Amino acid sequence: MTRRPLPALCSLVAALALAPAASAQQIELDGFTDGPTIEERSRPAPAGPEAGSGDPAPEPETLVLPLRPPRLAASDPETYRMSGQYDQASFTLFVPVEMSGAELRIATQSAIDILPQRSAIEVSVNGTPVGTLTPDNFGVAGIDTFSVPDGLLTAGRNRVTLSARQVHRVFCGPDAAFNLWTDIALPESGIEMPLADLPVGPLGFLAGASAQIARDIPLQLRMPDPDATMAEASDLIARFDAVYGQVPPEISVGNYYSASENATQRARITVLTADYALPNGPEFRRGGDGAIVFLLRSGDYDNAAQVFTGAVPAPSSEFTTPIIEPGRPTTLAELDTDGIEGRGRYIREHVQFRLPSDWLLLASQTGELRLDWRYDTDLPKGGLLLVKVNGTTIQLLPLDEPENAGRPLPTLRIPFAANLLRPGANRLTFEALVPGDPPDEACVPSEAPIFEISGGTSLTIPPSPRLSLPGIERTLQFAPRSAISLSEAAEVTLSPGLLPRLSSVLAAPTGQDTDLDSDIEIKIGIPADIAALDGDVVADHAEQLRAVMQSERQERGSAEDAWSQVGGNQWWRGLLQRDRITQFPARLNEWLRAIWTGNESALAPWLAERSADAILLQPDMEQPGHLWLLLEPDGDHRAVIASLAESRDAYRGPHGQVSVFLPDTGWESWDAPNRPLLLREPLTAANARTVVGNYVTIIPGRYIGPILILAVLSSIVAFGIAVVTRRKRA
Amino acid sequence: MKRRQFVSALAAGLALRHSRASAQPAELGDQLRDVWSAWRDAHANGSGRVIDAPQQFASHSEGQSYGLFLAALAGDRRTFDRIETWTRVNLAIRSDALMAWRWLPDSPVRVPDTNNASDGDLFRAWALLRASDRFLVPEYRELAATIAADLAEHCIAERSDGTPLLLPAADGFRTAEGFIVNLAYSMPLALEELAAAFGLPVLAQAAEGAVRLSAELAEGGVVPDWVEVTESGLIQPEGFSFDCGYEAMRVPLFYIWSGLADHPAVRTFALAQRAAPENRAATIIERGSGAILETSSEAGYRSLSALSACVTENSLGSGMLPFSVEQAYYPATLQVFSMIAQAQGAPRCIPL
Repeated sequence: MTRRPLPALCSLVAALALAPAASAQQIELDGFTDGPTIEERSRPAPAGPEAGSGDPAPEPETLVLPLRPPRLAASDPETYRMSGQYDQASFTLFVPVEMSGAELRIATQSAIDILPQRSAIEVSVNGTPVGTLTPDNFGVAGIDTFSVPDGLLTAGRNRVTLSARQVHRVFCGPDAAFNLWTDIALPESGIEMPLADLPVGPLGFLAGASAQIARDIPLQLRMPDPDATMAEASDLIARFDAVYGQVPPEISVGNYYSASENATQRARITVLTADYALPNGPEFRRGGDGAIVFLLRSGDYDNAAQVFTGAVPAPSSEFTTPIIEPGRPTTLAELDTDGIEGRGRYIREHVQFRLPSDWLLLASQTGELRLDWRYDTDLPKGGLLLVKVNGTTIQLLPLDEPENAGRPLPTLRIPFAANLLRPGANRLTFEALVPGDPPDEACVPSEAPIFEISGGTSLTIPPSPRLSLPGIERTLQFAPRSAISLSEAAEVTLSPGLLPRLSSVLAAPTGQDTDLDSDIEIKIGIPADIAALDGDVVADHAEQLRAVMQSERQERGSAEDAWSQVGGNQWWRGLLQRDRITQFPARLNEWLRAIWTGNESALAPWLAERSADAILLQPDMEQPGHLWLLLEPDGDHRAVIASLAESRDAYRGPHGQVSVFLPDTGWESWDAPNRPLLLREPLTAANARTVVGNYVTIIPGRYIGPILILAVLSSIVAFGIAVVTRRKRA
Repeated sequence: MKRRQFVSALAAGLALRHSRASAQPAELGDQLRDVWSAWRDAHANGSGRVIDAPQQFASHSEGQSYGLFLAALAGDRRTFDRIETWTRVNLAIRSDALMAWRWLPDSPVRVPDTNNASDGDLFRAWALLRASDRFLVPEYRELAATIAADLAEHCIAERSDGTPLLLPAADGFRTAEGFIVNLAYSMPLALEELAAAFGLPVLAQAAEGAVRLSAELAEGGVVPDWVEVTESGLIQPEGFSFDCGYEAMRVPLFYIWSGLADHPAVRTFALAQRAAPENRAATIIERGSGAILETSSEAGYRSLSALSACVTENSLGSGMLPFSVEQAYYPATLQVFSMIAQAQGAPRCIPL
């Protein structure tokens, strides 16, 4: 501690007061008579652990290379929930170097209803089992570690699979299944390694980025002028996203000067202005905070993008759902499903498939499912298997007939209405509900599957003339990344990092040839853009669209009871339900209207019942390639992105002309009644009946009107003939 | 660069002119807005008092002035006015335009010593000058002129060759043999801008004198916190630190900021920092041996170390850290200043 000079008058007093500071210099001042007291002036060293160089060396900082989930989380990105009696999930694990002696840690917390003695989660790495975890961390999360055999973890992308078998402490019916869950704490699950060992290179970058993203810390993109150069970097971000599959990380864009606010970065991208040269092209460096920094020059994005894809080949960006060729039986094995084994008391297994984009049957044609299956013996009374097509039950099958149990059953032919299907993604579902036995006690353990569906089960979809309807889903099938942009209003209100993220989940895989009859343009906008929208769909609906985004969430009623459809088709049940009776006049009115204009409702009443966090719409059916995605400026867009990523190649995605999104309900879509049906092949005698059937289904009025006129004319002619004939006789 | 060459370059004013061309203050202020907000929220209260928590929760004229300068740079008029108001009421209580150097919240007499600290006054005058242009308030310029004039009148001492130097305070630093200076108080760019704005060449000469003195000292090691200037030469002032510690670490910072990245004081500081353990920066360096006596892991000190290393090695990109709100007032301020110094005096050293 140093001391500053003492004024003459006070020197004696001060010297006494500061006697311990014997070394303090006493300086006589020239002509200074009433100056200040002696004071500390130099800045002393801070007290506490930072002081002195003799403080113990801190523990080396470590990071956990985390498990990356198979799908984007809508709410809590740090947790993945395995639920039900049986569940399986595969996670991606980026490892920067080949590891020996690695230990895989899995952090879990389970529902108290799980009986740990009979429950287990099997862990495998790249297909090799490494151990079994007992789900017994109930109060707080706990960590189990597994030794990974040398050579099993390779540098780059690895796959960790968890297969859960969860048994209820007391019950075992379908309801019990909903109380069984184990949460995987993703940031804490994976391989732990010292931060300093993270190699400075693309794999180190990806591993660090994974660790950071797992903790919900966006990947930072530092640019000299974020606003001006964001569009240029879009391709780079696209390649980066490609490495992560269709689960793009959140990206924040900023300048070089950031405040960390406790958010430790493990990786980031820094873009230099073009004034600076990087002789060897983009390079990786270690930042002062230990983060792996990808350094590149502005404008050098193509070279930069190849660095990532060269280091870790991107997973296929093609539509992965298999496509069915209409007109011939297609087995489940051909749909990448070798067979289905249903285990537990509530089972729901999906088989996803696609139909050609120009396939369309709206009339009374039927498809057929030829089901080869069996179910277990001694199942309790009341067990059912529901077979569904796109959510509609096409067959109820009992699982409680002893004479049929335990043996392969004859092929069951299940016809279903082909108009349940639609172009693009579709879904066949097997949903089983098996009561507890007895319902209020623990079940007898059984490892055998409740039911088995053979891979030889086949699906036959009738062929269709090449027909198409305009719709959101059809445009999204062909949308290139370059067609997606922010509106002017959105540019100043939405985060710049949102555009590349949305582009990743909205754009079609590269190489998709479009057969749309207009150019494609997808604008990301905000409610303020609604006033500027123009087209036959949105005309006169601006207020309603704005109200949908601004209104409080509508209560949409309780979730559908899985049992409610059982026996629901008996007509006499309606007589016992008062609400059905009171609604009868409205239903009758709607039915009569549907005869004339088709089944689709008008947009205004449809919107009036809804609220939304996001709206995806096709404003003008004459320009089917033009879409708008409207977002709340201050909203949490994570759920929208997660849903789009998940539904991009699946049945539950947005479709029709207007689709509204709420996290609780997903996408709800409205189809315009006057959609223009487009025949994409010549009208022939062979396809005429199908084509007319489709037209008539869409707009019955166009069929009923001419028929009525023809009938009237025919009647007049017949009446005239009759009159003329009768006169001659007279 | 040899000392003679360096001094010649300084005299020509090339370095300072270059620094001004590197980044426009308004543009830099926009870029630093998030960092400024984080600094303000962490270290200034609603009344405009900048709090140095580890130092008895005191407020110094230095801290108030640093806050004023950052607020002006960020274009934060509201915070600027609050800090300036608090400063006028609580520290600008002397008969001249200079401030008392410290305000203690828990002391019976909040300002027990009315002596000033010339670094605080210098930065306040500089901040007012910048704010006058930024916020179009002529009164700020008038006050800046008064402060600068009082600094020139009360806080200048001359070496035997007539070279003026900035004293640490109006009172108390003259000795029987000469006077004591703290070279971190003589921020060259601030002195030159005030000199040019108000026709006070003595301030510009004081800046040049300090830079020359630092170069002399750097021949013998890192620039010390305090040095006594006497007829017979430069000596260690008794009772004052002669190591490069928390005071003198601002010398390389201010020189880089002022476009003097080639100054030997920067180089000696950077070379000494190389011996610091990984993820730590030296905070006290023994002048004679260059031995590290104390280190810190706080982001501000590490950023300053990384910046000095970058300019010395002429690297592209530096290891400066993201601003941390976890650190105390002083390293936090040094970190923001390091960012400004990088943007204005070492544009190649972009934080990676």
